[in-house]
Amino acid sequence: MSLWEMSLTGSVLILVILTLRALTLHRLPKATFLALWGVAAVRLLVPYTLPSPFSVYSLALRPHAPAVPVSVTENLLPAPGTAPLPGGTTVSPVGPAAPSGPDLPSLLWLAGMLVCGGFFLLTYLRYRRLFRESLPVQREDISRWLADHPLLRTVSVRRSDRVSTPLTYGILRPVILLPDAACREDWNTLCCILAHEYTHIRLLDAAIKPVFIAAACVHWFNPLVWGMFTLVNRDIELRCDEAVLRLFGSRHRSFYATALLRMEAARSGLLPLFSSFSKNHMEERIIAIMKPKKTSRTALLLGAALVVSITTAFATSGETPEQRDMALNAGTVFKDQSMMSYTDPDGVTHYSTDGGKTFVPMTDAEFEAAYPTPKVVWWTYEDYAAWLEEEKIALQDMIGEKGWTGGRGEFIWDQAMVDETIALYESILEDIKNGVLVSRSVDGSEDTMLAMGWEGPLSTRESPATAADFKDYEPYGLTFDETSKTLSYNGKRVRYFFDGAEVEPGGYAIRLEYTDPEKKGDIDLHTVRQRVDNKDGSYDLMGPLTGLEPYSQAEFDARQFLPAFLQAVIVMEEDKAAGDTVSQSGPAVQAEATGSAASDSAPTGRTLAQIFASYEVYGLTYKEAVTGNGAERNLFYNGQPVRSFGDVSPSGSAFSFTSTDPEGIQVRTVYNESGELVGIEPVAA
Amino acid sequence: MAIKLFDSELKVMDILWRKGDQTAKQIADLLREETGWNVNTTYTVIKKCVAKGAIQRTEPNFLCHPLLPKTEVQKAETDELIGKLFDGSADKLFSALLGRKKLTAEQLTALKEIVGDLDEVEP
Repeated sequence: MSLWEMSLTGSVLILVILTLRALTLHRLPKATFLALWGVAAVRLLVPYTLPSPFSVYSLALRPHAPAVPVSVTENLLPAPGTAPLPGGTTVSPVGPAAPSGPDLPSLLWLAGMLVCGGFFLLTYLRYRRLFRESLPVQREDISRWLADHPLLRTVSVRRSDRVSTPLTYGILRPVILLPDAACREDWNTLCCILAHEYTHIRLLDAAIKPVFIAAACVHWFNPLVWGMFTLVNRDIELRCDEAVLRLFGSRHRSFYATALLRMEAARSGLLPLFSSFSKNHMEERIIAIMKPKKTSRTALLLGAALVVSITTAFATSGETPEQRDMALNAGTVFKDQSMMSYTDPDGVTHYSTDGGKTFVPMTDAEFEAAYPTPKVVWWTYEDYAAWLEEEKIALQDMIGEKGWTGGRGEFIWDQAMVDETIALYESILEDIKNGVLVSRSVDGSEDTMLAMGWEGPLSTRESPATAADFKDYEPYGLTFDETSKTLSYNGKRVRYFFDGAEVEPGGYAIRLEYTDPEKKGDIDLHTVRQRVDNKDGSYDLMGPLTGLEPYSQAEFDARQFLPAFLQAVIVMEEDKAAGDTVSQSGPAVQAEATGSAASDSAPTGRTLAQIFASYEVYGLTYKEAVTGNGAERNLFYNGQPVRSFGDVSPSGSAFSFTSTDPEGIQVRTVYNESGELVGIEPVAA
Repeated sequence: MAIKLFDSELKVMDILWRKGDQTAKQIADLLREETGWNVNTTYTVIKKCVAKGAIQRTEPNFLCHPLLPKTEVQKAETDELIGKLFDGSADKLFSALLGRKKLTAEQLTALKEIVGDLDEVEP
């Protein structure tokens, strides 16, 4: 619990007690109010809280549904450094609201606390020296009185010319300190004085005060806490008076009241500031003493009941939801956010976690040990649909309530947000229908979500490029000729076109990537997009299109047309999981034992459809269908069913694929001496 | 008298008036018995007296010598009493005293002389 929360809930409690006190001060035993103040002090000083369904805070807040991604701009995997998703990716700053470290408000608070604490400490130390120099009182009558009123602790009476009113100090060895004037008083008055101070000692008031001093120092910025402090001191006196009259008989009450007044009059006054307080206070005390009161059992019970109910209602916390949304931005599931890998001719897979600078060979076992596969339970379409129906109702109820996400912080639900969220869920349901795997739980926890087979808006490529794909770029000079099936830019043939952004080293968000079917062209081209800063601290690198630019000659010359998945393969743990999970549920795709890095669909947004698009010119077609059992994925070579496909490139990497349909031929890729892919051929069985 | 002594300081002075010059340690031991003060407290009070010019400290063993005679302090205290309780009027003090007893003429003259003395002493 933070200091602010403690101060706030404490303030609410203080206000409640204040109101109650104003209404019932003289009708209830004073110990009631001290008990309530005690609860407030605990609330202010103790950072832990007991949740209770009866708390007022339970009414104010409602539990969240599990794993609610609230902001529509956040994708399912918004963790920084996660594989970029096509279309509208955001890069969020790490972590939820950080706890306050050594920053200005904390330092200010600390300074204030030290000043207050220092003031009390210095006053205490000064008075302690005075008390030490007090002189003993040797009077038979006083000694006899003390003997008549024994306590477990030894009480002594001393006098000092440096105090103006009687007081008591010391917890283990209590001392009643009398000013010289008091010593000269008549015996009856002296008895009242002794009785009063003695009762303070008995009730351990000297131990109670420091607690409230501590609360006032810690919450020095909160005026309500100071108000409580003043009232606590008064209530301590009131309770003491009440106890004195109870112990020594209320028939002497008027005499006691007079004696009190006389003692107060002798007070030289600490500060002019306090004089009005003490006038009020004295009035309170005199009224309390003089009011004929029968502290009935009803009053006692009522007092006790009030303490219990106010504590339960205001001093416990609401059953607040865990801030589950934190996990969505924290990205703690993934140890390494991005990884590249390739397989060498010996079949050993090398992994790089630094964006391709260095590669380390690892066996499958080593990989599993370093990056263990999470256990994922995926949503089925029916279950998710059912959950969505319930969620729609729950979300409607949340309008006006508080919500929280790591990215956005605290906010209030409104209809627009609810609609946004429902729309997001519906699109997820649609994706699930289309074969995207969406996790229901990861390693048993609902705090993280994984998605596999995520397809962005322009990722499904089952047919070659059409002019429609490029209509957004036409204003900038890009045209696609349907007849020749070539892309041109200002008259020049475009060999390669890329609309995407590098959201992290080696990781790209790609909206569209095009390669000339014959790899012929004069220029390579890429888009220029505006970076958009979202209000919640994340930013979008794929903002509005501002233009097209050619790559440099050097880049043009250096371009290698590797199969797409090898250019920048982002492998995350769920890919590994997908490899396992998919193989468990009846694989449409299998990773070969060579440890190919390809997966069902790399989260770069490159589906198998996109990957196979680059082989289409050689006669390879890829068809995907969703049935009741999941997805069916099949390859065809010149119309003939293909049961397995292998691509071993001269650079040593391998990719293989097995169709759902076990019937068909086997095909493989063909490379020329320069290492370029030139075709596909069947393999003799 | 320019020096105002508190009760605690007067207590220390009282020891010296009764017993003559004492070392600080001796004073501390005595006061522990009489007042329950710990050694540090006594030393603090003695140092206050030295600072106020009521005690002279000589060095072997922190020997203390009172610089103020008891009578002077008595006069000061009486003045203060008159001031506090009799509105600064010595006459009123006497009225109170006289109200209790009858005095002979010689006693009256003696009293008046003392009062004259008191009047001369600057407070």
